[in-house]
Amino acid sequence: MALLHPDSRLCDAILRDTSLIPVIARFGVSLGMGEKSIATVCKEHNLDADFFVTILNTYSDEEYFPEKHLQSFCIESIIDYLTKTNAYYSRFQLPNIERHFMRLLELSGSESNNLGRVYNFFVTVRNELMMRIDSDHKQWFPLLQSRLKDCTEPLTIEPITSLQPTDAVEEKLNDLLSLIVKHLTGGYDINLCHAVIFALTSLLNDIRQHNRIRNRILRPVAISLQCDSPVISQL
Amino acid sequence: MTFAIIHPDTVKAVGLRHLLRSYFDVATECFSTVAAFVASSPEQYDGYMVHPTMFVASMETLMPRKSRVVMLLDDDAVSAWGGLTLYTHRPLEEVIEMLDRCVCCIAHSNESAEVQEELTQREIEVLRGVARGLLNKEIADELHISINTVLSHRKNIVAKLGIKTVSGLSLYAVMNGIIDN
Repeated sequence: MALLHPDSRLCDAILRDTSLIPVIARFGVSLGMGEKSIATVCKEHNLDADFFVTILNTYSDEEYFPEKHLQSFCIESIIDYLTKTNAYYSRFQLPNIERHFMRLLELSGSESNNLGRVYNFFVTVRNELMMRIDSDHKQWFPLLQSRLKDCTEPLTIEPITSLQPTDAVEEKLNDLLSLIVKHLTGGYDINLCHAVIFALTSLLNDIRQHNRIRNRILRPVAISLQCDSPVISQL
Repeated sequence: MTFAIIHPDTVKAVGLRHLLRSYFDVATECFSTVAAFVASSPEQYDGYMVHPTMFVASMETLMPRKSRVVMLLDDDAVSAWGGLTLYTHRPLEEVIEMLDRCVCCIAHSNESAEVQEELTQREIEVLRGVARGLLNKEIADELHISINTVLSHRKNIVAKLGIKTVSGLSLYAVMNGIIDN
């Protein structure tokens, strides 16, 4: 997929990959952008066009991850972006999946299928993700910001050379999808079941991108400031 | 499957990555230095595509895995290498055919290619232990087998079910009556 540039039209980027809609929403950009270029939209919303384009490219192309370029941005911008993705999960994506799941359970009955158990597994994953978000907002991000403020010398950031930690939420979402797709039994409402699968897949893809930025950009900074994420440290 | 591509030329490595992903659904990690490859836990890869000079430098790691190594040659010079070979300078169609042969050979030499759909009785017993929250050692003691055998069964269970986490496996066990709710 061709990379986006500040002079690309934002509508073309969105029409090419509609999963970017929630990403631009996190920056306060809504639909109805006409034929404006990304640079123009960023100027109107007081956004750093370079950062905006880099996030869109990172998000829409699994293979593309400009590690050094992302590290060149202000860490506050990275934290701000991750805070917004967390807010999107907790306020919109998780409640949306929950809503669809509840309706699926209502319409599918519980006699002949194992949806109730699958739903309980979703609740476990949701609670784990909410705990991580809570820890980010109450502990990790504020601690990181305060250490950054106190830091008077330029940071020496070493890339993490060991294998990236396996993300428990990512793995469990994968398992949840496998369980539904491969091991669901009995009757169920087809449309709602598909809606749950699509919503879970969308959340999983979003979390993968979030984790790439979190683990490869923010964690090396946190480690150099000796304040790694408490959630990661426990894994 | 995941392959390691160990090649000093980034453009060639990325081109190969693209072909493997597009035509064979093979994931890849690219390394431009032997040091980076060796530091990446080389045993995790199913196959290795390597430039001759880098093969020489990582002989200790790659020789024991020779059947899963593909030598990347950029001319038709006669080579003493008796294993899988990919001539990177040949036309695209030929390259894809050579890649197809290499990927098939490596897939057959890996245990994962022999995975059957159904869990064996022993795997069900191991899964029951996992779902009950037992440690590998406890499962091994209970079933009178070694920890390595338990690990091997667990690897097969994950490959067959497509479920990795303990909580996911537990749910599968409940859903299929392997353990009580």
